[in-house]
Amino acid sequence: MVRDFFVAALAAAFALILLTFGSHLPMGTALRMGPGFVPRAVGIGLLVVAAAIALRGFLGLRRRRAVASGEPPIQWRGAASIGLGVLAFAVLIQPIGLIASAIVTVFVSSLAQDGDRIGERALLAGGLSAVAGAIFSLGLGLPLPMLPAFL
Amino acid sequence: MELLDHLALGFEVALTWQNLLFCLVGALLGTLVGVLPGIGPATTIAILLPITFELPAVGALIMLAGIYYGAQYGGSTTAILVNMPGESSGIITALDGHQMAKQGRAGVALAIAAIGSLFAGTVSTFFIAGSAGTLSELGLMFGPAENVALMVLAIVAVMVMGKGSVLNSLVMVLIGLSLGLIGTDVETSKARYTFGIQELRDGIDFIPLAMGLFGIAEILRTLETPGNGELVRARITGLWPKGADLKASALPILRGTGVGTVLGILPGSGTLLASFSAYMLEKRISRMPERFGKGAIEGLAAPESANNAAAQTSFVPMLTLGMPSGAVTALMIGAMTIHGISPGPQVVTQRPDLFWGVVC
Repeated sequence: MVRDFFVAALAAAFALILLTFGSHLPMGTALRMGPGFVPRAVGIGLLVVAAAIALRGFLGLRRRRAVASGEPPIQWRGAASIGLGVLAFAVLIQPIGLIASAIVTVFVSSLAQDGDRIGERALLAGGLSAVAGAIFSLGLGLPLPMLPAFL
Repeated sequence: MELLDHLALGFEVALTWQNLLFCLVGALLGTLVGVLPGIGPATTIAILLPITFELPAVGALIMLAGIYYGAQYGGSTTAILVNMPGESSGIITALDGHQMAKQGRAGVALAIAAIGSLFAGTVSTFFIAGSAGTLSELGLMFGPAENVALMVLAIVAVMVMGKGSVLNSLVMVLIGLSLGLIGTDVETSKARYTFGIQELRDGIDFIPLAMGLFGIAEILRTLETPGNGELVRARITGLWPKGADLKASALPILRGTGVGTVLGILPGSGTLLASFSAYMLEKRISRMPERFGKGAIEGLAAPESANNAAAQTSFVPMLTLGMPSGAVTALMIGAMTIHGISPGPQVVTQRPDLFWGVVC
C-alpha cells in the first residue's frame, strides 16, 4: 500500500500549510471563535488522519508483502504532462497571448498519451487553439490577450 | 388543484420559445460533448458553464439541465459502443451494453437505453412535481441549526457512500474545508491564506475550482484505465428492438425507474448508487444470473433507467435543500450561485417560475 503514504503525505502537507501560515491568526475561544480557530481545527484533524493512514499503509505493507499488488500503476507520465500543460497556460497567457499558449498547453498535455505522432499532435494543438481563439475572442468577446504582447 | 397550477406555471415558463431553444441547444451541445469518450456529464457542464453566463437565470438553468441530460445520454452511447464510460454510473451500462454491441446488437442496445431513459425521466418528473410541494414546506422550517445538521449529514454521507476507504474520504473532506478557508473570514473580516494576493480575498472562484476538480481530475482518471478503447466496427443495423427485446426489458425498466427514483432523492448518493443497485436487483431476481455481463438486455435496461430517474430526482434535494448529490448537481448549484440565486428552501417559494420551469 505505497499509495497510502502518498495520501498521508498530501494530507500532512495541507495540514502544515494550514498551521504554518495560519499561526498568526488569533485563536479565540470556542464560544467566540477567532479567525484562527477553524483553520487550526482542520489542520490538526488532517494531521491525525494522515497519521492514521500512514499507520494503515505500514500495517498493510507488512501484511501483504508476499501478495502481488493489485493496484494499477500510477500514471506519472499522464499526471505530469497534464499538470504541466495547465501550469504552462497559467504562466504563458499574459506574456504570449491565448493562441500561442493554447498551442503549448495542448501539445504538452497530449504527451500524456503514448506514441510519437508529432504531426498529429501539432495538428491537434493548432486546430484547438484556433477554435479557442474563435470562441473566446470573436464569439464571447472576452478581454483576453490574443497575440504575444511584443507584437 | 395546487399541483396543476404549479405545473401550468412551469410549462408556461418552460414552453416559451426562448427556453425551448435553450433546452434544445443545451441537449445538443451536451450530447455532442458527452459522446467524446472519457468525458462525462460533470466535465461537460464544467466546460460549457461559461456559455450560459450571458443568459437569464431561468434560461441558463434550463440549458444546463438540457446539457446534463444530453451528456448523460451521450455518455451511455460511448459506454455501449467503445466500452468507455464517461462517468461512474456509465460503468454499469458498459458491462452489458458493450457486450451487446460486440454481438452486433449495438443498435438495439442504444435504442433500449434511450427508451429506458425517456420512460424513467418522464415518470420521475411527475414524481418530483407531486412531492416537491411537501418537501419545500419541510425545507422552509429549516433554520441555521438544521442547516448545520444537514451539512454534517452531507459530509458523513459523502464519506460513507464514496467508494473506497472512509479515511481517504475524510482526507478529501478536510482538504476541501481547507480550500474553503482561503479568503476573508466571515466573522472578523480578516484575510486568511491569501498571501497578499488581492484576487484570493473573495476565496477561490467557483469556475477554476470546478474545472480543476471535475474537469481535469476526470481526465486524469481516464488515464488510469489505459487501452480499453476497443472499437466496435460492426455496422449498426436494426435500430429498432424486436418485440422480444422490448418485452424482456419492459419490467427491468419499470423496476429500474422505481429504484432510481427513490435512491436519487437521498442526498449525497447520486446516480452511481442507483444504477448499481438496479443492476444488482435485476441480477438477483433473474432466472439466469449467469447471463449478466455477457450482453443481457435486462442488465442494460434497468441501470440505464435507474440512472436517469435518479438524475431527475436528485434535483429535488438540490433545488429545495441546496444539497448536491454528486459532482453534476454540485456544479449546478455553483451555476445557480453565479446567476445570483442561492440554492435552498427559499428557491421554491421565491422563484416558483425557476423551480417549476426547470422541472418541466
